[in-house]
Amino acid sequence: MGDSAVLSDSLSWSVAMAGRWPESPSAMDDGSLVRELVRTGDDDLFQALVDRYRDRVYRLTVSTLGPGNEAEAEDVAQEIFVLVYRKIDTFRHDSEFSTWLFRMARNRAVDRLRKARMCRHHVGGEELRSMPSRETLSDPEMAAVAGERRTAVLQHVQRLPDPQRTVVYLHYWMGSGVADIAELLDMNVQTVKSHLHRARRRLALELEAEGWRHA
Amino acid sequence: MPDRQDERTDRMIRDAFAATARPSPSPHFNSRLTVALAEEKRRKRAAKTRMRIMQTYWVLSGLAAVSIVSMLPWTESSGGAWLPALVVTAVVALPMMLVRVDLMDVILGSVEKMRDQI
Repeated sequence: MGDSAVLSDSLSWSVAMAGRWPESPSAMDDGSLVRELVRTGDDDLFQALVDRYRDRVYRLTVSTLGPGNEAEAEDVAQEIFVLVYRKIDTFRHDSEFSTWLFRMARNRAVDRLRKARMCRHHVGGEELRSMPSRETLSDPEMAAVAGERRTAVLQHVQRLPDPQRTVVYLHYWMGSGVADIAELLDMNVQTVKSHLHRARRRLALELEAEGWRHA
Repeated sequence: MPDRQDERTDRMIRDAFAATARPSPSPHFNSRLTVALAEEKRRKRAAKTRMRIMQTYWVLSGLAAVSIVSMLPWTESSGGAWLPALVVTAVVALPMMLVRVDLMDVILGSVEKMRDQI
């Protein structure tokens, strides 16, 4: 319902905007869109940027903050877009707009995580256990084991060092591909693969030590 | 062998996250952002107005201070250079205090703007 409302908004917006610029804002590349936005200050151009990057910025913030912090991740994403609006005229075009945006989002989310950790260390096992699940197993015993295993994996992922943890969340939780993660975290593809590999190796050792080897 | 272990761990993590709901921005994301941007615009306009008032005020008060200083007959016995300096400071600073302008905010705002331009 949410998606269709957003889609319908975007469609009506596109129709309304037709003819105001040489090409539709949604068809403009980032550089032209930003230049035009700085020149005109038009809110509709800014909305086009938000529509283009909302989901990816959210994926990045939620993956940095981790499960259990979804609402906070949305707050950070909101703050980032307000910050972009405030500072768009300082963007120098010497890098991709997306790189600039994702770097700001990542830094802000890391700051938020650091502050949150001063108050509490990790999301506890109970919280992870009660997280919304997509899994439905008919056998209660199997479901219980699967639930325990899931909690153990999530807890160990949560203890991974950054950026391994964020890479794992982006890949396994958000379903992002390696190339997408490389763009979001401003890394090359090989570095992302290496982080994933190291994270898996570390998790394997830790889970094995807890007896989850044959799970 | 290590590859097989890597695959097994990959499957285990995949299973754990397959059972974890994937979040997405709320349907109110855009409307919340619109409200936040309206507040940001209001803040920007207020800051601009405040800056213009301050700039105008500094020019006028500077001129007034110079004219007062040049019109008064200063002598060694009336305090030398200290008195004119005190008058200029009072003329510049007093109204600022009266209109409750946060001087540090104005200075820091100007520095930030300059830094952005550089």
